[in-house]
Amino acid sequence: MTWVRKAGYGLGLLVLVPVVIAARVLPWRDKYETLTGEGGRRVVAAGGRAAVLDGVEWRLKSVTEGRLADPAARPLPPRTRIAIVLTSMKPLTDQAAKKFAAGTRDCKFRVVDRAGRSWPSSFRGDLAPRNGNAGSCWTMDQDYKIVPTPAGKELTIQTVYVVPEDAFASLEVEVHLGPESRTVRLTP
Amino acid sequence: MRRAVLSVVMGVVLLAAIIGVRRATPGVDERYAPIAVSGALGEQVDTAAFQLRVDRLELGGAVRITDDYGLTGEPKSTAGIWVVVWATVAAASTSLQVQGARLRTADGSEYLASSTIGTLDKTDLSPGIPAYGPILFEIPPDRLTGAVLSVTTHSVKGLDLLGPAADVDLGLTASYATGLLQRMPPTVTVGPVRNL
Repeated sequence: MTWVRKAGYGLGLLVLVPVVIAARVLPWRDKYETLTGEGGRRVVAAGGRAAVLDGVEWRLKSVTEGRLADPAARPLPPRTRIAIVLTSMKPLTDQAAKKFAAGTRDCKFRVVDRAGRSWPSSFRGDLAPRNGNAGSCWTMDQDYKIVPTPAGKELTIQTVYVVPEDAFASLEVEVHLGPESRTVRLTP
Repeated sequence: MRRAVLSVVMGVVLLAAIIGVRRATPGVDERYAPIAVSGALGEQVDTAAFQLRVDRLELGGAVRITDDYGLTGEPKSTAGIWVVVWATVAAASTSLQVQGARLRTADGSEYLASSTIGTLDKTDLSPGIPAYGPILFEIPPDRLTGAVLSVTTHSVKGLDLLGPAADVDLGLTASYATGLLQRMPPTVTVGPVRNL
């Protein structure tokens, strides 16, 4: 076997091995992202600035503390506080609005503190008044049909959390958009 | 001739080695089993996803559940005995439930926690907000001795592959278990889960 032929086999191996590994690993990576919601595309915006993902602008408007208005309401766990988070989303183009309406109705909000601990939004309706804000990435009409947000219109979304007192000061917001496992992270 | 004998001996040795390795190789269940941290009654067990401390143990012939409003339900009977494990659990970094609470008895049988709602294993746990409450099991009384509490985050074992787990020795020696059974009240009333 000449050295040219040997080099040819060597080069072939150098190409073939990564291709085989990629063919085995990449489908699992997609499954992992779908299953865990981790590892997908992520955009981060700090200092109240806007994050743009797939033509949709996201902005953290405020994180404020709430109070239980009804004295008869189920009490909060000890040493916890209510965090009321206002986030806005605005499709910047018609195409982005259509894509968002078609594919990302399942958006999940959570807050994360400096230590990496996270809390999902609470289902309790008695923690804060809604004040006309949406409860998720979409609104419904009187017939309970989803109304897509048109391009250029800002939708303010209110989510409420019960978090430990020591976490409140360092809360950031994460919006997880399925099914493509994309994440928007917003810091005050 | 000598070489042929040596070859046969080598072949037998290699065959035995292959059989040994095959038998010693852990199966799928062992390789993908949850990663368990062991502890004992009264000790805090720290797993990657939650902290657990078993505080005490009660037995009863029937249980009555008191809800969040202080209302106590009708007694729930069982063909065996009720084992009530009082524990404190906190999530480490993300919200979860400890749905995979099982009593593993000395003979290897596993009893999943009762489907009764309002117990600790059916409670949403959040980081930094520990919860204290009961986990209920129904087991035959003769299997109490040597029972160990095993806790994972899912009731379906396939979802806990290489996941976090806590194994807690409940200290149920034969004499202690016999004593508990002798002193067992006909009915035990358990309160709701509360945040600490």
